[in-house]
This record gives sequence, C-alpha cells and structure tokens, in this order.
Amino acid sequence: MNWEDAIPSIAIATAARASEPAMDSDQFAVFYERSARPLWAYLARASGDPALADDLMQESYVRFLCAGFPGDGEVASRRYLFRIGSNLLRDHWRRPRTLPLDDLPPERSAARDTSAQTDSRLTVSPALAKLRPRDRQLLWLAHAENYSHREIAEITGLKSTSIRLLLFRARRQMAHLLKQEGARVL
Amino acid sequence: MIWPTCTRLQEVRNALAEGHWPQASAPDLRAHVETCRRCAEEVLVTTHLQQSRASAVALAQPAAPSLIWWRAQARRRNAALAHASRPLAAAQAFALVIVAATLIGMVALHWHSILDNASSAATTPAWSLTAVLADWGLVPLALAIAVITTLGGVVIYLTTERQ
Repeated sequence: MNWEDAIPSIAIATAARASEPAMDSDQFAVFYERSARPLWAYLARASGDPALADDLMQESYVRFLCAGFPGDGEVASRRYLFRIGSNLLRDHWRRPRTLPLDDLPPERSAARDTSAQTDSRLTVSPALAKLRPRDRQLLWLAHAENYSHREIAEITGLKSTSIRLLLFRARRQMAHLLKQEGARVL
Repeated sequence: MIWPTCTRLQEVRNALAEGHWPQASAPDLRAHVETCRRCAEEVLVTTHLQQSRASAVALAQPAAPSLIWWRAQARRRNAALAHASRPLAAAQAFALVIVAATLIGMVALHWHSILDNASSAATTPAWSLTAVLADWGLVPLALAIAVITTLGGVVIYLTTERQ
C-alpha cells in the first residue's frame, strides 16, 4: 500500500468514527416506527403540504442519523427529531416561493379517516391555515403532542418565557377561528 | 397583561391528556367547562388538534427505515470523504505552488541565458543537450524530474480516489 492509498483510508476511517451514529440499524428501525407518523403529522399540519412533509420527514431522519445524537433515551431523541423538523420548516418558510399553483400536489385521500376525524380535519385545517406558521407549530406541539413550555422552547428555539404568551394568543385565535368554522366544545 | 386563569385548568388538561375527556371526566368538571371561557378554549383547541393528529397519523405513509438508513450512511460517507480530501487538496496545491515558484525563480535567474539562446536560435539549427548542460548544469533535469514526480503523484491519487 502506498501513501496515496494509506492517507485517505486513515483519514476517512477517523472521520467516519467521529460521526458514528448513536444507534444501530435495528434500534433505528424501532425508533422510526414509533416516531415517523407523529413527526409527519406535525410537519404536514404545520406546513399544510403533505408532499413537503414527506420530504422534510426524510431529511429530518437523515440529519438526525448524521448528527449522531447520543440522546438520553427515546423521549430526548424524539424531541431532538422534532427540533430538526422545526428548523427545516423554518428554513422552508424563509425561502422564496417559486412553485406555481398548478404544481401543487393534490390532497391525500381521506379514506382511512373516521367521521369524527374527518369533521375535525375539515374545521381544523382551514383554521390552522389562517394562523401564522409559528402559531401553528406552537399549538400543535402543546395541544397535539402535549409538550411542556420548556420542551417547546427547546424544539422551536424560542425563549421559554415567551412561549406562554405566544401560546395564549395563538390558542385564543385558534378557538375563535374554530368557532367561525362551526366547531363546538366536544 | 391580565392572564385569564382558572383553578380547574390543570384538572381539565389532565383529563384531556389522559383521554378521559369527556366521557370519563366528572360531571361537575364538564359543567364547569361550559361556563369557563379559559377551560372551554382549552378543550375546544385540544380536542380538535388531537383528532387532527389522529387523522394525520393514519394518513402518514413513511418510507422504509432501511432507505432512510442507507441515505444517511451515504451522506455520512460523502461528508467523511470531503473531510479527508481537504488536507490532501491543500498539500497538492502547496506542491504545485512550490514547483511553479521554483520554475519562475530559475527563469528569473537565467533569463539572460534564455535571451542569448533565443537570439542564437536563428544561427544554430537546434538546441543541443550539451549546450543546455553547459549553460544550466543539471538544474533543468532536476526541475523536470520534480515536476514529473509531483504531477505523477497527483494523477495516481486522483485515479485511486475515483476507483
């Protein structure tokens, strides 16, 4: 073996070891099965675009694995995953929009929805669409995922002290919009 | 700002989080929610978002985990390659700069000889090895060997890297 071969091999091996994933493929498969659907739901409802949610979800997991997050159990790993997803969403919203309306993907089939879920989706989606992206994220994380204010701050990168006020405003606006859509307290 | 608070809000939140609302919750709590604006908002937003979540989770069609794993492995490998190539590229650039500087330096030192040779080129039919050796010594030979060795090393490295 000459030096041209030896140096890259050593360097690549060192670099690969440095970014070794924190879980093996079997552990990842279990974690993925448990967390993929809730993450997709968050990304789809926060963005309002199922196709975008597909892309962002895959990218979130790839970044999660590449980062080699050591994690303190599944809860922490899941929170870290939602944080990556939130950052990707924020990056997407910051980018200028170039997609023409004709290229927007059609709505996914709602064949598997129960009637109550369909009713809720029909009232929730228009209401969510009228909210600011950040408010959608906050409401989803607090009310759909049951995260605490501290956890929401960690995921979104916002200050923990401002979460309460932002959530209060977003919740009030959401309740008002839901009532406008004909929703009632279940 | 005045925060609208309610002493029973936490009770309502617990019932919602544990899935006890509305059937498994106490009748007085249900009666309270009908009269309390803060708790009614909490119930309205949470129940609808939870149903929306259930609906979205059912719609999700995640890709196979092996595909995600493979993509991550490929990206990690590419990143490792890029990381490893950086010092080698710098070494190559450094070697090329040294060779170029040596070449320029030699030309600057012997440019009088070059001009003389150029002017006598019209009378002399061709450059001879003995004439070059007489003027420059072994310097051009050493320079040529250095250039060929350096470029050869670069070519071999690029070839093995592609393979």
